[in-house]
Amino acid sequence: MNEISLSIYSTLSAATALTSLLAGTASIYHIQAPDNATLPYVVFSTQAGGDENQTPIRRKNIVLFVRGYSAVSAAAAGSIDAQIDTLLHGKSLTITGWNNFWLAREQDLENIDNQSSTEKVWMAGGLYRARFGKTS
Amino acid sequence: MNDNTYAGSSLVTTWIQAAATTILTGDHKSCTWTPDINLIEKTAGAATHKSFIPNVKSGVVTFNANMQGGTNSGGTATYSTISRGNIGTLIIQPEGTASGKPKITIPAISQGAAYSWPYNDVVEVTANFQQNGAESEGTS
Repeated sequence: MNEISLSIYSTLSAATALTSLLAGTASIYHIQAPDNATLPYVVFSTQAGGDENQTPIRRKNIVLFVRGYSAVSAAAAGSIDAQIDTLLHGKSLTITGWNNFWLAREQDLENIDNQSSTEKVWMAGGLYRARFGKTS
Repeated sequence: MNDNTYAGSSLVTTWIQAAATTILTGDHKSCTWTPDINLIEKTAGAATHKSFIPNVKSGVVTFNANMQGGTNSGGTATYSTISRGNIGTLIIQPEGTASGKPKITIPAISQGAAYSWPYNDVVEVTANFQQNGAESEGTS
């Protein structure tokens, strides 16, 4: 859903406490960072979920995967993740036409990518469950 | 053989009482009408099985929905009309309001709205109605 993606992007990119940890204020990407994007950056994507179809009012129940990447250390990636957590856990996204009545972190994830150049890229992030109800 | 099954998504439930007529459906999850009948037991003598005389009929309706916030429709604006003891008529139209579709009219007494406020889920309201007279089953 484009509205949700735009809302996440605007929420994350407006937070200077987060963007100050990234390569730039626009270092936030949907699904995948561009080739050769400068680290550190944030990537978010929809991991699972969709329409609930329980009532006549349309509702979405989705799981978002939001994570930070750093070429410096796991701790640096973790610091990005902590800022993302502050912005999303228990908060509400502003989405045109939808009411975000639930947004909470459910799982913590971390990983390391071993690049062919022997450099390493650390990832730290979480899965966030988001539930939305249609308002218009 | 044709398949004429249908889903409950077309349901329209209306509560008519002195102060207002309220369409309860809009964010409903289920609506259940359970007819009932009193039975007078007539088992006697050497009977090996119970037997009964059918007596007066009754029924209950249970309506469950997601609650809307504030005083909006589907919120307190809707459920203030079903406070305990309100006497009225429930109209249940399982396939919507189109002409010719089934329509069940049930005189009823509201037993009030029961709310549930879970921390991590949608707030729900369940309204119970005691049938208060003979129902009629017809069409819209």
